[in-house]
Amino acid sequence: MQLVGLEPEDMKSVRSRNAMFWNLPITFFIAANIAAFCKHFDYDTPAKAFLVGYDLGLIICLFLAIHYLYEQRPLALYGITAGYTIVSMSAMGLVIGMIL
Amino acid sequence: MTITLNFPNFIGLLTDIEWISNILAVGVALTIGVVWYHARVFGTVWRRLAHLELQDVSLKQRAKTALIWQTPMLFILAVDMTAFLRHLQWHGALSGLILGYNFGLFVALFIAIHYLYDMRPAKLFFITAGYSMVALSAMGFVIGAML
Repeated sequence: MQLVGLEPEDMKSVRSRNAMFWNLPITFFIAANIAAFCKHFDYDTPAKAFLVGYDLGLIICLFLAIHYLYEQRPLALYGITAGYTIVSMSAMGLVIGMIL
Repeated sequence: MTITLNFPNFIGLLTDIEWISNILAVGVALTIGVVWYHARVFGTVWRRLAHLELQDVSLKQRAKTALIWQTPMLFILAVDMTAFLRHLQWHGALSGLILGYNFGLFVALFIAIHYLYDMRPAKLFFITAGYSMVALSAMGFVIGAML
């Protein structure tokens, strides 16, 4: 919150609620895409699907890094954002692999 | 615990890299970036929305960032994309374009989530995500065409 310049009051605003509202369909779309990759690769075990999620997370992180570099945003903020991306993508892959 | 380095295996990994197509794909992505963020295209709006001063994004500064950071990162992306295409046994420019577009979609969706929570302007999202999608699609197109 401090690194992106937000105040605690911002978290109670309409925009914050909008973010939470849009997060669900966007994440669902990402999960469906990971599942499509796993099916295309015939990866139906948690370990293999985890790898797909991790690799796709890595791609996102690399591109995020490029944008953060040009926008000169703090390294700590990048670490938080990229960390969340890698962990959530890998976890989504793991869960999808368990169900497939 | 002993660690042994398998040099023939390491050399095999290096020779497996499609150097020409990957370097070309990186060049294409960099060129798109130069055009996309040019002052006459989205450069001025992007700078204003990202709260950057003109001296922050001087030609020298951008060239340094591109050479030291962006080029190796794009190269890793290109190698990864080639690996995906090989694994899928997809050949041809159209297949590459579809994979690159899909990668771009992943990047754009995650940027959307982060920008929503960071409460950043929608216009800035479209400039950033647009570049990601166009650059990755073009990279896939080049790699696929040369595979």
